[in-house]
Amino acid sequence: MRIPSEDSFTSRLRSAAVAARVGLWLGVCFVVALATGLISHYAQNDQQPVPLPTSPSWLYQVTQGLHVVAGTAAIPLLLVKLWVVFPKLFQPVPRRAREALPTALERGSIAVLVSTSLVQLTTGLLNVAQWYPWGFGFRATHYALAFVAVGALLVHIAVKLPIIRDALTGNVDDTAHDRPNARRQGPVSRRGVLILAGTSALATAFLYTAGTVPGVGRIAALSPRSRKHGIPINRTAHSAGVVAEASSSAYRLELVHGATSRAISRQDLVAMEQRTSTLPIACVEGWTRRASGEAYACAICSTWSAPRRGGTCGSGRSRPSAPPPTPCSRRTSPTTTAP
Amino acid sequence: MRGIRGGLIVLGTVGMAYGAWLLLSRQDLGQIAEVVVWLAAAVVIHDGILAPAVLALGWLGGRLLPWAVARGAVTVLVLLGPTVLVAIPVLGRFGAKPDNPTLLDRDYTQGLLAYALLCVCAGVAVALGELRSPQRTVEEE
Repeated sequence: MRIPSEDSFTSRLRSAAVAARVGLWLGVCFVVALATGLISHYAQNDQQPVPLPTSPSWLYQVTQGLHVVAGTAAIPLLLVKLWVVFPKLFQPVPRRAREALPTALERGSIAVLVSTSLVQLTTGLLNVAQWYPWGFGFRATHYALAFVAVGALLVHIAVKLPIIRDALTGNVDDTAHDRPNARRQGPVSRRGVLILAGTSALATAFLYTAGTVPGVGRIAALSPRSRKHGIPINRTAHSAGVVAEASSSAYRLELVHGATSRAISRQDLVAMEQRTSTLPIACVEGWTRRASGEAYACAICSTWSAPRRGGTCGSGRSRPSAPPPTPCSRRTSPTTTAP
Repeated sequence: MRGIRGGLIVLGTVGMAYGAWLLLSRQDLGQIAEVVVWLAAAVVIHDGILAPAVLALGWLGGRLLPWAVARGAVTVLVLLGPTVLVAIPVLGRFGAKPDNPTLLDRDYTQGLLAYALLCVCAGVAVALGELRSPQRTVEEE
Protein backbone atom coordinates (compact mmCIF):
# COMPACT_ATOMS: atom_id res chain seq x y z
CA MET A 1 0.00 0.00 0.00
CA ARG A 2 1.20 3.50 -0.88
CA ILE A 3 1.89 5.82 2.04
CA PRO A 4 -0.41 8.82 1.61
CA SER A 5 0.97 12.34 1.30
CA GLU A 6 -0.63 15.48 2.67
CA ASP A 7 -2.19 16.07 -0.75
CA SER A 8 -3.99 12.71 -0.67
CA PHE A 9 -6.54 14.35 1.65
CA THR A 10 -8.92 16.50 -0.37
CA SER A 11 -11.91 17.16 1.91
CA ARG A 12 -12.54 20.84 2.55
CA LEU A 13 -13.65 19.90 6.07
CA ARG A 14 -9.99 19.34 6.98
CA SER A 15 -9.42 23.06 7.35
CA ALA A 16 -7.76 25.43 9.82
CA ALA A 17 -11.15 27.15 10.16
CA VAL A 18 -12.64 23.94 11.61
CA ALA A 19 -9.50 22.95 13.55
CA ALA A 20 -9.27 26.34 15.29
CA ARG A 21 -12.89 26.24 16.44
CA VAL A 22 -12.85 22.67 17.72
CA GLY A 23 -9.40 23.44 19.18
CA LEU A 24 -10.81 26.43 21.06
CA TRP A 25 -13.49 24.28 22.73
CA LEU A 26 -10.90 21.62 23.46
CA GLY A 27 -8.61 24.25 25.00
CA VAL A 28 -11.44 25.42 27.26
CA CYS A 29 -12.04 21.80 28.36
CA PHE A 30 -8.33 21.34 29.11
CA VAL A 31 -8.07 24.55 31.14
CA VAL A 32 -11.21 23.68 33.15
CA ALA A 33 -9.93 20.13 33.74
CA LEU A 34 -6.49 21.43 34.81
CA ALA A 35 -7.86 24.04 37.22
CA THR A 36 -10.40 21.70 38.84
CA GLY A 37 -7.88 18.84 38.87
CA LEU A 38 -5.37 21.01 40.74
CA ILE A 39 -8.06 21.79 43.34
CA SER A 40 -8.72 18.08 43.85
CA HIS A 41 -5.03 17.22 43.99
CA TYR A 42 -4.48 19.94 46.58
CA ALA A 43 -7.53 18.83 48.59
CA GLN A 44 -6.08 15.33 48.89
CA ASN A 45 -2.70 16.43 50.18
CA ASP A 46 -2.08 15.67 53.84
CA GLN A 47 -0.67 19.13 54.39
CA GLN A 48 -2.41 22.20 53.03
CA PRO A 49 -0.40 25.36 53.80
CA VAL A 50 -3.41 27.44 52.75
CA PRO A 51 -6.63 25.60 53.67
CA LEU A 52 -9.26 25.28 50.96
CA PRO A 53 -12.36 27.36 51.57
CA THR A 54 -14.92 25.36 53.57
CA SER A 55 -17.89 27.35 52.39
CA PRO A 56 -19.91 27.05 50.23
CA SER A 57 -19.91 23.33 50.89
CA TRP A 58 -20.96 22.60 47.29
CA LEU A 59 -17.77 24.13 45.88
CA TYR A 60 -15.96 20.80 45.66
CA GLN A 61 -19.07 19.19 44.17
CA VAL A 62 -19.17 21.77 41.38
CA THR A 63 -15.45 21.80 40.61
CA GLN A 64 -15.16 18.03 40.49
CA GLY A 65 -18.33 17.69 38.43
CA LEU A 66 -16.81 20.16 35.97
CA HIS A 67 -13.57 18.14 35.94
CA VAL A 68 -15.16 14.95 34.61
CA VAL A 69 -17.61 16.80 32.35
CA ALA A 70 -14.74 18.73 30.71
CA GLY A 71 -12.59 15.60 30.43
CA THR A 72 -15.35 13.45 28.94
CA ALA A 73 -16.54 16.17 26.55
CA ALA A 74 -12.94 16.54 25.37
CA ILE A 75 -12.91 12.96 24.02
CA PRO A 76 -15.26 13.49 21.03
CA LEU A 77 -13.72 16.94 20.47
CA LEU A 78 -10.17 15.52 20.42
CA LEU A 79 -11.17 12.75 18.01
CA VAL A 80 -12.80 15.26 15.63
CA LYS A 81 -9.81 17.63 15.96
CA LEU A 82 -7.38 14.83 15.15
CA TRP A 83 -9.51 13.83 12.13
CA VAL A 84 -9.43 17.41 10.85
CA VAL A 85 -5.64 17.77 11.16
CA PHE A 86 -4.76 14.17 10.24
CA PRO A 87 -3.10 15.17 6.87
CA LYS A 88 -0.44 17.08 8.88
CA LEU A 89 0.92 13.71 9.94
CA PHE A 90 2.11 13.22 6.35
CA GLN A 91 3.73 16.64 5.92
CA PRO A 92 7.22 16.32 4.47
CA VAL A 93 10.14 17.31 6.73
CA PRO A 94 12.26 20.15 5.27
CA ARG A 95 15.66 19.02 3.98
CA ARG A 96 17.73 21.97 5.15
CA ALA A 97 18.92 21.77 8.75
CA ARG A 98 18.02 25.40 9.48
CA GLU A 99 14.35 24.73 8.67
CA ALA A 100 14.34 21.13 9.79
CA LEU A 101 15.22 21.87 13.42
CA PRO A 102 12.28 24.19 14.26
CA THR A 103 9.96 21.89 12.31
CA ALA A 104 11.22 18.87 14.22
CA LEU A 105 10.79 20.71 17.54
CA GLU A 106 7.28 21.83 16.64
CA ARG A 107 6.23 18.38 15.48
CA GLY A 108 7.85 16.84 18.54
CA SER A 109 5.73 19.11 20.75
CA ILE A 110 2.62 18.06 18.77
CA ALA A 111 3.50 14.39 19.30
CA VAL A 112 3.83 15.06 23.04
CA LEU A 113 0.52 16.97 23.02
CA VAL A 114 -1.36 14.23 21.15
CA SER A 115 0.00 11.32 23.18
CA THR A 116 -0.38 12.97 26.60
CA SER A 117 -3.89 14.21 25.71
CA LEU A 118 -4.97 10.74 24.63
CA VAL A 119 -3.49 9.16 27.77
CA GLN A 120 -4.92 11.83 30.12
CA LEU A 121 -8.42 11.44 28.72
CA THR A 122 -8.22 7.64 28.64
CA THR A 123 -6.84 7.20 32.17
CA GLY A 124 -9.33 9.73 33.55
CA LEU A 125 -12.19 7.94 31.80
CA LEU A 126 -11.08 4.56 33.13
CA ASN A 127 -10.62 5.95 36.64
CA VAL A 128 -14.28 7.02 36.72
CA ALA A 129 -15.23 3.40 35.96
CA GLN A 130 -12.54 2.21 38.45
CA TRP A 131 -10.74 0.15 35.83
CA TYR A 132 -6.96 0.21 36.34
CA PRO A 133 -5.25 -1.92 33.67
CA TRP A 134 -1.82 -0.45 34.50
CA GLY A 135 0.88 -0.68 37.12
CA PHE A 136 1.68 3.03 37.53
CA GLY A 137 0.06 5.23 40.15
CA PHE A 138 -3.00 6.90 38.65
CA ARG A 139 -2.92 10.03 40.77
CA ALA A 140 0.80 10.73 40.32
CA THR A 141 0.73 10.05 36.59
CA HIS A 142 -2.48 11.96 35.86
CA TYR A 143 -1.07 14.93 37.81
CA ALA A 144 2.33 14.90 36.08
CA LEU A 145 0.97 14.41 32.56
CA ALA A 146 -1.49 17.27 33.08
CA PHE A 147 1.43 19.72 33.20
CA VAL A 148 3.06 18.10 30.17
CA ALA A 149 -0.18 18.17 28.14
CA VAL A 150 -1.09 21.76 29.00
CA GLY A 151 2.55 22.85 28.50
CA ALA A 152 2.59 21.27 25.04
CA LEU A 153 -0.80 22.88 24.36
CA LEU A 154 0.62 26.34 25.17
CA VAL A 155 3.54 25.75 22.80
CA HIS A 156 1.10 24.56 20.12
CA ILE A 157 -1.06 27.68 20.57
CA ALA A 158 2.03 29.90 20.42
CA VAL A 159 3.17 28.32 17.14
CA LYS A 160 -0.29 28.49 15.54
CA LEU A 161 -1.39 31.83 17.01
CA PRO A 162 -1.48 33.84 13.74
CA ILE A 163 -3.51 31.12 11.99
CA ILE A 164 -5.79 30.68 15.02
CA ARG A 165 -6.45 34.43 15.11
CA ASP A 166 -7.23 34.58 11.39
CA ALA A 167 -9.40 31.49 11.51
CA LEU A 168 -11.42 32.54 14.57
CA THR A 169 -12.00 36.09 13.39
CA GLY A 170 -12.86 34.95 9.85
CA ASN A 171 -15.82 33.02 8.47
CA VAL A 172 -15.97 29.28 9.03
CA ASP A 173 -16.03 28.75 5.24
CA ASP A 174 -12.88 30.83 4.63
CA THR A 175 -10.22 28.96 2.68
CA ALA A 176 -7.30 31.32 3.37
CA HIS A 177 -5.30 28.76 5.35
CA ASP A 178 -6.45 25.65 3.48
CA ARG A 179 -4.25 23.46 1.32
CA PRO A 180 -4.93 24.27 -2.36
CA ASN A 181 -6.33 20.84 -3.16
CA ALA A 182 -8.53 20.55 -0.05
CA ARG A 183 -11.61 21.59 -2.02
CA ARG A 184 -13.76 18.46 -2.17
CA GLN A 185 -17.23 19.02 -0.78
CA GLY A 186 -18.03 16.66 2.12
CA PRO A 187 -21.47 15.21 2.81
CA VAL A 188 -21.85 17.76 5.63
CA SER A 189 -20.87 21.41 5.75
CA ARG A 190 -18.15 22.80 8.06
CA ARG A 191 -20.86 24.26 10.24
CA GLY A 192 -22.47 20.81 10.26
CA VAL A 193 -19.26 19.19 11.51
CA LEU A 194 -18.98 21.76 14.31
CA ILE A 195 -22.61 21.20 15.35
CA LEU A 196 -22.12 17.42 15.32
CA ALA A 197 -18.85 17.62 17.28
CA GLY A 198 -20.40 19.90 19.91
CA THR A 199 -23.52 17.73 20.22
CA SER A 200 -21.43 14.57 20.47
CA ALA A 201 -19.28 16.15 23.22
CA LEU A 202 -22.28 17.30 25.26
CA ALA A 203 -24.18 14.01 24.82
CA THR A 204 -21.17 11.87 25.72
CA ALA A 205 -20.37 13.98 28.77
CA PHE A 206 -23.98 13.82 29.94
CA LEU A 207 -24.34 10.07 29.40
CA TYR A 208 -21.09 9.25 31.21
CA THR A 209 -21.07 11.74 34.09
CA ALA A 210 -24.62 12.71 35.07
CA GLY A 211 -25.47 9.44 36.84
CA THR A 212 -25.88 10.96 40.32
CA VAL A 213 -27.60 14.20 39.25
CA PRO A 214 -31.14 14.27 40.73
CA GLY A 215 -33.87 13.94 38.11
CA VAL A 216 -31.77 13.18 35.07
CA GLY A 217 -29.43 10.58 36.60
CA ARG A 218 -31.64 7.74 35.42
CA ILE A 219 -31.20 8.55 31.72
CA ALA A 220 -27.42 9.05 31.98
CA ALA A 221 -27.13 5.61 30.44
CA LEU A 222 -23.35 5.14 30.61
CA SER A 223 -22.62 6.49 34.10
CA PRO A 224 -20.70 4.11 36.34
CA ARG A 225 -22.67 5.52 39.31
CA SER A 226 -26.34 6.04 40.06
CA ARG A 227 -28.64 7.14 42.89
CA LYS A 228 -30.08 3.64 43.35
CA HIS A 229 -27.80 2.47 46.14
CA GLY A 230 -27.42 5.58 48.29
CA ILE A 231 -23.97 7.11 48.62
CA PRO A 232 -21.56 5.66 46.06
CA ILE A 233 -18.75 3.59 47.58
CA ASN A 234 -15.26 3.63 46.12
CA ARG A 235 -13.86 0.86 48.28
CA THR A 236 -15.76 -1.14 50.84
CA ALA A 237 -14.40 -1.65 54.35
CA HIS A 238 -14.25 -5.31 53.50
CA SER A 239 -12.03 -4.87 50.45
CA ALA A 240 -9.86 -2.38 52.34
CA GLY A 241 -9.44 -5.03 55.06
CA VAL A 242 -10.42 -2.68 57.90
CA VAL A 243 -13.68 -4.24 59.15
CA ALA A 244 -12.08 -5.68 62.30
CA GLU A 245 -10.08 -2.53 63.08
CA ALA A 246 -12.93 -0.12 62.43
CA SER A 247 -15.44 -2.01 64.54
CA SER A 248 -12.93 -2.74 67.30
CA SER A 249 -13.45 -1.15 70.72
CA ALA A 250 -9.85 0.07 70.46
CA TYR A 251 -10.79 2.38 67.60
CA ARG A 252 -9.84 5.99 68.29
CA LEU A 253 -10.51 9.12 66.32
CA GLU A 254 -7.29 11.07 66.68
CA LEU A 255 -7.50 14.82 66.21
CA VAL A 256 -4.26 16.65 65.57
CA HIS A 257 -3.96 20.42 65.62
CA GLY A 258 -0.43 21.75 65.72
CA ALA A 259 1.37 20.11 68.62
CA THR A 260 -1.80 19.06 70.48
CA SER A 261 -3.63 15.88 69.77
CA ARG A 262 -6.58 14.10 71.31
CA ALA A 263 -7.82 10.54 70.86
CA ILE A 264 -11.58 10.01 71.07
CA SER A 265 -13.29 6.64 71.35
CA ARG A 266 -16.65 5.74 69.85
CA GLN A 267 -18.26 6.00 73.31
CA ASP A 268 -16.88 9.54 73.68
CA LEU A 269 -18.34 10.45 70.30
CA VAL A 270 -21.77 9.02 71.09
CA ALA A 271 -21.81 10.91 74.40
CA MET A 272 -21.40 14.24 72.58
CA GLU A 273 -24.30 16.42 71.48
CA GLN A 274 -25.69 14.84 68.28
CA ARG A 275 -26.68 16.91 65.28
CA THR A 276 -27.93 15.95 61.88
CA SER A 277 -26.58 17.83 58.90
CA THR A 278 -26.82 17.40 55.19
CA LEU A 279 -23.64 17.96 53.25
CA PRO A 280 -22.61 17.22 49.70
CA ILE A 281 -20.26 14.26 49.37
CA ALA A 282 -18.40 14.60 46.10
CA CYS A 283 -15.61 12.76 44.37
CA VAL A 284 -13.10 13.77 41.72
CA GLU A 285 -14.49 10.81 39.79
CA GLY A 286 -17.50 13.01 39.23
CA TRP A 287 -20.28 11.58 41.33
CA THR A 288 -21.92 13.54 44.08
CA ARG A 289 -24.65 12.97 46.66
CA ARG A 290 -26.11 15.02 49.43
CA ALA A 291 -25.93 12.92 52.52
CA SER A 292 -27.33 13.50 55.95
CA GLY A 293 -26.12 11.84 59.04
CA GLU A 294 -25.69 12.07 62.75
CA ALA A 295 -22.82 14.43 62.95
CA TYR A 296 -21.13 14.30 66.30
CA ALA A 297 -18.09 15.67 64.52
CA CYS A 298 -19.76 19.09 64.58
CA ALA A 299 -19.41 19.17 68.33
CA ILE A 300 -15.73 18.41 67.98
CA CYS A 301 -15.37 21.00 65.26
CA SER A 302 -16.83 23.72 67.41
CA THR A 303 -14.57 22.97 70.35
CA TRP A 304 -11.54 22.65 68.15
CA SER A 305 -12.50 25.41 65.73
CA ALA A 306 -11.50 23.13 62.93
CA PRO A 307 -13.12 23.92 59.61
CA ARG A 308 -16.43 22.36 58.72
CA ARG A 309 -16.58 21.20 55.18
CA GLY A 310 -18.36 18.98 52.74
CA GLY A 311 -16.89 15.55 52.44
CA THR A 312 -14.34 14.88 49.76
CA CYS A 313 -13.27 11.49 48.71
CA GLY A 314 -10.02 10.37 50.16
CA SER A 315 -9.26 13.53 52.06
CA GLY A 316 -9.81 14.05 55.71
CA ARG A 317 -8.65 16.44 58.33
CA SER A 318 -8.81 14.00 61.18
CA ARG A 319 -6.35 11.16 61.44
CA PRO A 320 -8.04 8.12 62.91
CA SER A 321 -5.57 5.66 64.40
CA ALA A 322 -7.39 3.03 62.40
CA PRO A 323 -9.11 4.05 59.19
CA PRO A 324 -12.90 4.00 59.55
CA PRO A 325 -14.90 2.44 56.73
CA THR A 326 -15.38 5.70 54.87
CA PRO A 327 -17.78 5.46 51.96
CA CYS A 328 -15.27 7.12 49.71
CA SER A 329 -11.72 6.08 50.27
CA ARG A 330 -9.86 6.75 47.15
CA ARG A 331 -7.81 4.17 45.38
CA THR A 332 -4.67 5.68 43.92
CA SER A 333 -3.10 2.65 42.37
CA PRO A 334 -3.77 -1.06 42.37
CA THR A 335 -0.55 -1.71 44.28
CA THR A 336 -1.78 0.23 47.30
CA THR A 337 -5.03 -1.69 47.56
CA ALA A 338 -5.39 -4.03 50.46
CA PRO A 339 -6.53 -7.51 49.40
CA MET B 1 1.97 39.20 19.20
CA ARG B 2 5.68 38.26 19.23
CA GLY B 3 5.85 38.78 22.97
CA ILE B 4 2.71 36.73 23.62
CA ARG B 5 3.99 33.86 21.48
CA GLY B 6 7.40 33.93 23.15
CA GLY B 7 5.80 34.00 26.58
CA LEU B 8 3.53 31.05 25.74
CA ILE B 9 6.48 29.02 24.45
CA VAL B 10 8.51 29.70 27.61
CA LEU B 11 5.53 28.96 29.89
CA GLY B 12 4.65 25.81 27.94
CA THR B 13 8.22 24.54 28.01
CA VAL B 14 8.45 25.15 31.77
CA GLY B 15 5.12 23.30 32.21
CA MET B 16 6.33 20.33 30.17
CA ALA B 17 9.64 20.22 32.05
CA TYR B 18 7.87 20.37 35.43
CA GLY B 19 5.45 17.61 34.40
CA ALA B 20 8.30 15.45 33.13
CA TRP B 21 10.20 15.97 36.39
CA LEU B 22 7.09 15.04 38.40
CA LEU B 23 6.66 11.93 36.26
CA LEU B 24 10.28 10.83 36.62
CA SER B 25 10.75 11.67 40.31
CA ARG B 26 7.61 10.24 41.92
CA GLN B 27 7.55 6.64 40.68
CA ASP B 28 9.91 3.72 40.19
CA LEU B 29 11.52 2.84 36.89
CA GLY B 30 9.06 0.06 36.00
CA GLN B 31 6.10 2.41 36.49
CA ILE B 32 7.74 5.17 34.43
CA ALA B 33 8.45 2.67 31.64
CA GLU B 34 4.78 1.67 31.67
CA VAL B 35 3.68 5.30 31.36
CA VAL B 36 6.01 5.65 28.34
CA VAL B 37 4.50 2.49 26.82
CA TRP B 38 1.01 3.94 27.30
CA LEU B 39 2.04 7.25 25.71
CA ALA B 40 3.44 5.44 22.67
CA ALA B 41 0.54 2.98 22.48
CA ALA B 42 -2.01 5.82 22.53
CA VAL B 43 -0.47 7.36 19.39
CA VAL B 44 -0.03 3.98 17.66
CA ILE B 45 -3.64 2.94 18.38
CA HIS B 46 -5.06 6.29 17.26
CA ASP B 47 -2.89 6.99 14.22
CA GLY B 48 -2.38 3.36 13.21
CA ILE B 49 -5.78 1.77 13.83
CA LEU B 50 -8.57 4.20 14.68
CA ALA B 51 -7.79 6.97 12.16
CA PRO B 52 -7.20 4.58 9.21
CA ALA B 53 -10.43 2.74 10.11
CA VAL B 54 -12.38 6.02 9.99
CA LEU B 55 -10.58 6.97 6.73
CA ALA B 56 -11.59 3.63 5.22
CA LEU B 57 -15.20 4.14 6.35
CA GLY B 58 -15.22 7.60 4.79
CA TRP B 59 -13.70 6.29 1.56
CA LEU B 60 -16.21 3.44 1.30
CA GLY B 61 -19.15 5.63 2.30
CA GLY B 62 -18.19 8.26 -0.27
CA ARG B 63 -18.23 5.65 -3.04
CA LEU B 64 -21.10 3.40 -2.02
CA LEU B 65 -23.67 5.67 -0.41
CA PRO B 66 -25.93 8.21 -2.10
CA TRP B 67 -25.24 11.79 -0.97
CA ALA B 68 -28.21 12.04 1.42
CA VAL B 69 -27.45 8.69 3.05
CA ALA B 70 -23.78 9.64 3.43
CA ARG B 71 -24.90 12.78 5.23
CA GLY B 72 -26.97 10.67 7.63
CA ALA B 73 -24.10 8.23 8.06
CA VAL B 74 -21.66 11.01 9.02
CA THR B 75 -24.19 12.24 11.57
CA VAL B 76 -24.44 8.78 13.15
CA LEU B 77 -20.65 8.29 13.06
CA VAL B 78 -19.79 11.59 14.81
CA LEU B 79 -22.58 11.29 17.40
CA LEU B 80 -22.20 7.59 18.16
CA GLY B 81 -18.55 6.72 17.42
CA PRO B 82 -16.87 8.59 20.32
CA THR B 83 -19.64 7.50 22.69
CA VAL B 84 -19.03 3.84 21.88
CA LEU B 85 -15.33 4.31 22.71
CA VAL B 86 -16.23 6.07 25.97
CA ALA B 87 -18.63 3.21 26.81
CA ILE B 88 -15.95 0.49 26.60
CA PRO B 89 -14.99 0.56 30.32
CA VAL B 90 -18.61 0.27 31.47
CA LEU B 91 -19.75 -2.17 28.77
CA GLY B 92 -16.95 -4.55 29.74
CA ARG B 93 -17.56 -3.94 33.48
CA PHE B 94 -13.79 -4.23 33.92
CA GLY B 95 -13.73 -2.31 37.21
CA ALA B 96 -16.65 -4.19 38.80
CA LYS B 97 -16.10 -5.50 42.33
CA PRO B 98 -18.28 -8.26 43.73
CA ASP B 99 -18.68 -6.56 47.14
CA ASN B 100 -19.55 -3.10 45.76
CA PRO B 101 -23.08 -2.85 44.34
CA THR B 102 -22.83 0.96 44.00
CA LEU B 103 -20.38 0.71 41.09
CA LEU B 104 -21.43 -0.07 37.49
CA ASP B 105 -25.04 -0.59 38.55
CA ARG B 106 -26.84 -0.21 35.21
CA ASP B 107 -27.57 -2.22 32.10
CA TYR B 108 -25.06 -0.45 29.85
CA THR B 109 -25.75 -2.50 26.71
CA GLN B 110 -29.39 -1.48 26.81
CA GLY B 111 -28.45 2.15 27.48
CA LEU B 112 -25.99 2.29 24.60
CA LEU B 113 -28.50 0.66 22.23
CA ALA B 114 -31.10 3.26 23.21
CA TYR B 115 -28.61 6.06 22.50
CA ALA B 116 -27.61 4.39 19.21
CA LEU B 117 -31.27 4.35 18.22
CA LEU B 118 -31.50 8.10 18.93
CA CYS B 119 -28.39 8.69 16.81
CA VAL B 120 -29.86 6.67 13.93
CA CYS B 121 -33.06 8.72 14.21
CA ALA B 122 -30.97 11.90 14.03
CA GLY B 123 -29.12 10.48 11.01
CA VAL B 124 -32.40 9.61 9.25
CA ALA B 125 -33.76 13.08 9.99
CA VAL B 126 -30.63 14.69 8.54
CA ALA B 127 -30.76 12.45 5.43
CA LEU B 128 -34.50 13.17 4.91
CA GLY B 129 -33.89 16.89 5.35
CA GLU B 130 -31.26 16.61 2.63
CA LEU B 131 -33.69 14.84 0.28
CA ARG B 132 -36.33 17.47 0.79
CA SER B 133 -34.10 20.45 0.03
CA PRO B 134 -32.17 19.46 -3.10
CA GLN B 135 -31.71 23.10 -4.08
CA ARG B 136 -29.47 23.67 -1.03
CA THR B 137 -27.07 20.93 -2.10
CA VAL B 138 -26.71 22.48 -5.53
CA GLU B 139 -26.12 25.85 -3.91
CA GLU B 140 -23.41 24.43 -1.65
CA GLU B 141 -21.63 22.76 -4.52
